[in-house]
Amino acid sequence: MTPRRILLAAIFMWCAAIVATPLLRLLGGAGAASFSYEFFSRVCHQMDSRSFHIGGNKFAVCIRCSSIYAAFFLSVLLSPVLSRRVLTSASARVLLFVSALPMAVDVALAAIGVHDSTDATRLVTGAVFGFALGIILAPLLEELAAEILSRWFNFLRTTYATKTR
Amino acid sequence: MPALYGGLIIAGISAIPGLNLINVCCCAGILLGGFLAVFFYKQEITPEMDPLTSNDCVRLGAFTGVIAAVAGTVISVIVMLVFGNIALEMMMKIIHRMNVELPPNVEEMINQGMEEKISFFGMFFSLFFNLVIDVLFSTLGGLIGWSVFKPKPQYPQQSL
Repeated sequence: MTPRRILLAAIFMWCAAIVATPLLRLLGGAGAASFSYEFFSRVCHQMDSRSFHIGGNKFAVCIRCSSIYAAFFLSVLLSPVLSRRVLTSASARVLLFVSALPMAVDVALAAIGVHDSTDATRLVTGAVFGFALGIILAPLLEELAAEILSRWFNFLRTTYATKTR
Repeated sequence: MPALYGGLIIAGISAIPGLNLINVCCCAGILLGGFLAVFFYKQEITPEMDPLTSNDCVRLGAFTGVIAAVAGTVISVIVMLVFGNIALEMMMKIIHRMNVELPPNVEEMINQGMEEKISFFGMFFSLFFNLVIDVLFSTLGGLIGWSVFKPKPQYPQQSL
């Protein structure tokens, strides 16, 4: 398994856990669902009115967070094609600022009562930010996954070598 | 020291009721802590030292997360001991101000939550969750810091 696949699997599992939480509750796994809701409550407000639902049960995180993670996964998936092209034409700093701006404006305007953020604005602004973050971080995360893997294999090799000696 | 500063910033944001609402935005406070740790570290780098690497940022981010988790748990326990569960009280005040009618069982659950005392098990659970989330997001913050503050590549000057 390549570092890239491990990275994709990890992000997919994170996203899957978000969708699996309401399904677990629906299928009778209330304990596991509560554990998952508690875990994700550290990351998100989990407001009922601002979340997607399956069978009346909300996702583990709100719409904005769900779209950030889903877009992040998609952009890491597409990063071999996208990252180099985008990052050679724009610096990470500019990309980060430009992608976070719509979300910040949406949140700020809603907070001061100028405009009401809707599910659509939360979904779109979150997705823009998540996608850009994936483009910026994918090459670095792949490097990190490769480093962790090589260290892990080295550790296993040395442990095995000392045991067989 | 940069990791300590970053960790304490995250812990402060995460543990102080009201301020911890920043983390509601996809752990923005934790990402910020990892990012700031890289920023502080970059300020300390002198020309004699090795330049900043992505490995440094990852380690710095992860270490910041560990400090944040431990410090955040300690601060939140102290806040709970001194002030009680003021986060839930604040939330209830906001709900009442917005004239939202809660189902009686939900209100009863919240009231029970406000009266709950800290248990060792609860503290351990909280530390475990904080460790996972803080290390993960702070490392991501460190990587964002690297992509923003990384040294520009030096190309050799062509002789004419």
